[in-house]
Amino acid sequence: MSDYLTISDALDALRDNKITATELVQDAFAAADAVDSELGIYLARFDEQALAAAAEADRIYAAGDPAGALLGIPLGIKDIISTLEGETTAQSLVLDREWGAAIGDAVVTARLRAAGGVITGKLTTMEYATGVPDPTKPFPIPKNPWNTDYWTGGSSSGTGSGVASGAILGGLGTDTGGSIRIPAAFCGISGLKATFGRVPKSGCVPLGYSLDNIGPMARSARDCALMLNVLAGYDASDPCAAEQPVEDYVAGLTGDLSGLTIGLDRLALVYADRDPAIDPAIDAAVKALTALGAKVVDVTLPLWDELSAATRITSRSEAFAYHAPDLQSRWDDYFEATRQGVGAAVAFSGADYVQAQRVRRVGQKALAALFETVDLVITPTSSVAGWSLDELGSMTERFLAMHTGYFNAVGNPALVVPMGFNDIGLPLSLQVVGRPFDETTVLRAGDAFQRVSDFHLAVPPMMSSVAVA
Amino acid sequence: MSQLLPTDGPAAAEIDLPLSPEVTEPPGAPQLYDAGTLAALLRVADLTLTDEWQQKLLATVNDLEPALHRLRALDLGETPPATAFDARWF
Repeated sequence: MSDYLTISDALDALRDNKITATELVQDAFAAADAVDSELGIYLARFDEQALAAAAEADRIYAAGDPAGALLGIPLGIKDIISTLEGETTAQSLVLDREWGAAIGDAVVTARLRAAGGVITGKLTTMEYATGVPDPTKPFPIPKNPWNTDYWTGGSSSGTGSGVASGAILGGLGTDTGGSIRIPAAFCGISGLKATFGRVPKSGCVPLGYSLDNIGPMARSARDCALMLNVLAGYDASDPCAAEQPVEDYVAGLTGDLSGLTIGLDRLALVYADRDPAIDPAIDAAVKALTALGAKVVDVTLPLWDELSAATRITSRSEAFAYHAPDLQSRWDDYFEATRQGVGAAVAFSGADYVQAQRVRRVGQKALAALFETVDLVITPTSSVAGWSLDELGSMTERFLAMHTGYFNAVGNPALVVPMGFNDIGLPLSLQVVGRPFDETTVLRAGDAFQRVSDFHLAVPPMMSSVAVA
Repeated sequence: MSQLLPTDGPAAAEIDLPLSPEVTEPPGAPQLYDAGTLAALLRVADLTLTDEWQQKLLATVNDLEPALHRLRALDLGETPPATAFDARWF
């Protein structure tokens, strides 16, 4: 792996002439060369284009005018987001390959590129950003770098394993019910689902129109802030994009949590088979946050079961509306999990969908009332550290164990950061949630925690033998 | 925290929403689907599936039913839906 694990450190090294962008990208490709056949990170690599972009970044650094906020940083794109290079497949046999070709760069891809980011390739996902792997289909099975018997989590699987293994320093994921946060959690990195509408998503294959988010995945909260500075902001091409002021998210990383009140909901009762390592890790995180100046109080998130259910009903209904014609004509081409998950929407009535949207409105207001008493809420990201690829369990079991979908229903920003390991060495993760459009405070808390912990810098054992020139 | 922009029309905050609807265990048991009901729903959706797949989907649908039952049982009073989910919030 490269000596530079984080985007932030790599940018410092580039500016100080300790490494070139070309070397940084070569290191990333070398890491990918060493492990990709086992981990299933990439669907397509853009070596030639990336090295050309890196050479251009080096020219700009040499000229002494490194204006791009991500200049020379190797970044990967989940393959449901369009890029100028290569196809967009959504890791599916079904998606028309002309879809992405007609778009070129999605807004977010263009923004990363304009900031000097080096697009290294397209990363694995679950089909159409939903479900679990399907070994009968001709796509890689994403495996967890911390234990290759385990799943990366999904659906932004390649972004999670790519960052954890050093094949990229950061990348884009998407999140409809947790698809940024779960692979970030399982792979031991950081990931941010910003407020719904904060990051424009035109040029991304939809899953659940009213739940989808594009966001950054990287080792640290600081790296997520660096990326969000580039990604955030209104774009008229996305009807869901919010016309909200964008802050300098890096400037907000003060390291000080004085004056903040943080609500803790352990969500101890929502999943029976909880990993016993989670509560001690939460206790340690609370101790660290308190030492940083925050006051931590116990809270109960309102309407947990109802809002979680609303996300399930909404995502499947919206996905079914999109996929119905192809499900009718190409059922067998879809992954089995997609057929089961999206196809189940035949049982939902129009009234069920509307009821889910009514619950979302009530839930937003109830959560806003809670946020009048606290500045942030923390929860475990998941009640488990992962699933073996041989025992992925039922959809409902997975949904109950992952504590992310609730926040898609209400839209609030949610960051996940590593908070320890379980007894077999799999990462554990803390979720930090804020008020709508208050990513600054969310990122501040995550960054402050990472200034007094080093879980986000841990390297999977399999990478220790991967040396780069 | 960012200042929120005003929305058009009556803000949801001005609508008399139940702040915390009474949440209890919903009455009755989830209404599980049988194979015939699912087959009818599949016909409406114009999905022609094998018997094997109908059985698989039946299991999935019935796995989701408790969540649906909980949602259906909530009394939300006059709460309107968050249609065209409002990124500007209430």
